[in-house]
Amino acid sequence: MTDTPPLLEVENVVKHFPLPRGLVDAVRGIPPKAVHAVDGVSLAIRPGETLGLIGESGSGKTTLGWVIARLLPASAGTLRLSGVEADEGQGPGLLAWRRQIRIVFQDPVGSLDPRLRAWQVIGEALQAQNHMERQFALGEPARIVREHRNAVRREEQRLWLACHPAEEAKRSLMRDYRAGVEQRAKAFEEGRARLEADYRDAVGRLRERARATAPSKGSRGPSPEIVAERERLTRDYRLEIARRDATRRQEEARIGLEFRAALLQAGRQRLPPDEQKRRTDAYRAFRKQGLPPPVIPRIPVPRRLSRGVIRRRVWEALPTVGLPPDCLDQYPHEFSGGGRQRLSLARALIVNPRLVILDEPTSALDVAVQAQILNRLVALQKERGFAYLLITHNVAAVRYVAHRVAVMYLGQLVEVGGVRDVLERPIHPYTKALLAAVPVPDARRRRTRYRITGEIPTLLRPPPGCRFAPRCPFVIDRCRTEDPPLREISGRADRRVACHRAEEVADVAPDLLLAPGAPVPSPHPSSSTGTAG
Amino acid sequence: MVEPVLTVEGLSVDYVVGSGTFHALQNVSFEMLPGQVVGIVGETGCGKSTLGHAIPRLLPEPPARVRRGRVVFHGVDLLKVPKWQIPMVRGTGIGMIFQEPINSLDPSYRVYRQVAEAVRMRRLRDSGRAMTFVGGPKPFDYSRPRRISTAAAATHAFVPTLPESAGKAPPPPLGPGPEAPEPGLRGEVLEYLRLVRINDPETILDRYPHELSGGMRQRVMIAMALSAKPELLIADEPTSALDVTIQAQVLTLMKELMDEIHTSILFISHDLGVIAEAADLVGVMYAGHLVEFGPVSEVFEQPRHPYTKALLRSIPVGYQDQGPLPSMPGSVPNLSRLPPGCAFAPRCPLARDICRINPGPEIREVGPVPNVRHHGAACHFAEGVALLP
Repeated sequence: MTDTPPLLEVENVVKHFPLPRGLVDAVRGIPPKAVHAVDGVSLAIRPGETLGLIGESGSGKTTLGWVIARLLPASAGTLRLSGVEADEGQGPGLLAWRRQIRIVFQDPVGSLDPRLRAWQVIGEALQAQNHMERQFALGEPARIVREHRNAVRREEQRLWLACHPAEEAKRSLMRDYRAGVEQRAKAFEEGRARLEADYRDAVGRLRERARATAPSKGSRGPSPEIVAERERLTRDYRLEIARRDATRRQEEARIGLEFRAALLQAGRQRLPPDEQKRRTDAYRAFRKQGLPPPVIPRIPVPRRLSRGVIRRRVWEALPTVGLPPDCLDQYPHEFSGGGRQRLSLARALIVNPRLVILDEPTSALDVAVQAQILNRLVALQKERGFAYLLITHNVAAVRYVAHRVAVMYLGQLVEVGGVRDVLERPIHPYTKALLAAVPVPDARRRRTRYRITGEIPTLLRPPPGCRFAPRCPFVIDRCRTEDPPLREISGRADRRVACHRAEEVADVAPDLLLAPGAPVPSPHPSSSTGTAG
Repeated sequence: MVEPVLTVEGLSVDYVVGSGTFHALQNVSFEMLPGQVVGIVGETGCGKSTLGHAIPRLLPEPPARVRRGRVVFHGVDLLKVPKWQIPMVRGTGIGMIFQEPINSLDPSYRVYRQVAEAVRMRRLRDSGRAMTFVGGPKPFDYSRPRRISTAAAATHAFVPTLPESAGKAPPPPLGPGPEAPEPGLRGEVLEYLRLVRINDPETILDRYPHELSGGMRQRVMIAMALSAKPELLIADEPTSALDVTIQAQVLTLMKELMDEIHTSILFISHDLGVIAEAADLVGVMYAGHLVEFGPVSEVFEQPRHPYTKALLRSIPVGYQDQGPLPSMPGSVPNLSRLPPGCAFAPRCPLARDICRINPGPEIREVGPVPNVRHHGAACHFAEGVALLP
């Protein structure tokens, strides 16, 4: 399985959300702040594989999912789907991307239009895909013809200019002259602005000095030296402006004369007669023949999907997600929480994507319903070979569904590896802390104490060094200054950890982060033993 | 013999709305002894929050309607007390921690003012300057540590008596008055914020709720609830909105506080793991019925109701290659059209004809010790549950 080329590759993806900068900060030149939601994440998903992305709220896992689905543009980094790099645009590349990567949103209520019936909700995806295909099929021939016509015009113009070298030279001179005028005007303005700023600074300093050396509160106005100095400054400034302006006018006049002379000179250019004839003939021949006509492919235009077709395809798809087929005409609010989640899932799967991003698919559900949905997801993957990116904070769901696990903390990956490896032998202290914190329905864990303290730091100013350092029980000084890279751990293939002390802490069991509670000194007459009576 | 701090008997609550009557609670009975933590667990819509809100009478009526039942808090049936007297028992008698702290903290006041209000209220009640439960100025005795051990003590707390100074000096005015000095109020608020392990409480005091993180807000809520020193604390999904590491911190904190301030807690959660960690006793609810009640260790290790068993089994614990997750067939019944007899019968592998006859099974003792408080299940075939896969 490791040999198959990855379906999706994410390299050093960064997503910052800049915050609006206040006027005061803007004037003071303080750079705008940004929320560092995703800070350099690299991962790969192979076809038919589930990657579980675990992290707490604010770790950036949902943002990463949105960036991968290209619902949000990445601030930096590259995305590749089957080796094809994502482009910037909103064009056909994006549409193709979205056909292959579908997303099931976190909130099943908010992402289903309450005015649409079930078949419309699911059918919208089909309709949108059909619309895209029709647009392409209908628009592509016209686009090819347009391209061809433009190419002919460009070639004609090139050949005409070749016949008229004087015209070509004149145009080139004109272009240069205009650019030069603009450039010089800009330089002059910049120089003047600099001069003015210097002048204001000098005056300001003078004012400071006057205030500092003011003889007493009684005397009015600054001392005569200061007044004289200020007048000198103003005079110098005005003189300098006037001098520069005069120089500029002279210079412009000179350049203008030179330009006219060159223009006259260029207008007299002639080609040798035989060359002239050859070029004119080429131009005339082209006017007659043009370019060979373009090849317009025959693209069959898919039919617009009728209501009946959509209903039938949705009807066929409903049982795959475990919905009864007679719910076609129900509204989303008539479904239970699990039913709504199944609707979202059906909407994502009906266009046969290659990768499905599942953003907290079961967080809003009860355990009994969660078990049904998770079983369905696994069965669908086996039948139809989808790859999943399962974004969740639910370790139990990841354990059951995922093949590989990536643990995210504050916008960075801290640990990546196979599901059994990571969940049974976590290396990174945060992974250990997370696993220890998961409550398990085992009454023997009562009275244990969780030993991780501290709050999750803000993403506005991530702490320097390792981001988990403020809460980490194994922290050393190096962690607070040096950012740990996500590196491979010797002897463990396909396992990467971002921790300076990975080798040292590798064997610490997560349960050591739980301390048994202090012996409870018989607090009340009836504790859990229930000795009543 | 310890008096229970709270007894719920046959509580049935309906929601009467346009589309029908929803039986949110049906014949729920249980007891809480002082210092116990009772967990209530169940799926969405099983009535656990309705139960939590019905005890301090926080349900909006209508649409809610208490059909029958008693909620006895220290010997007084709260359902029979006039509505205007109920605020006197809230806070210092029964405290609440709600699921979403951001919804229950006032966004327009700083943290200090909100916590101070709770502290001030308790002080007023302690000193007898505020109306307490039955209308007399006699304070409800909230000092700690204290055990309501006898029936006499319980009755005493509610008997309106005149203060000893009656007739000699004018009684202190009710209410704080506009300029009432509050010696040590700030110090006490700080003390409670420190108790819930808030770092740097002096700066937190002057923050608004939205400036705090979710964990901090939840701790402020806990500080508010605790500063009133309630007899009974109802925690309705107190950690569900939090991340697991923060949830573990808050749970640890609550356990530590339990050792310091002995309060009875009714801990409502949908998370079986959280209940296992936090509670002494657990009640499992299904479709408005309390189907099983008993010590956490027994209920989780030897469930005696098929629903409890199925719920525990559907928690994913294994990997994909260990086979599919066992899942319950069917879905939760509509609360307005409950099946006759046992509500779980349509999904139950043990169901026979007897299960579909009205009325459904009553909760009965199934544990080794014949004591209703010990381990009860509402199932005709409780003994057969152990044989289920």
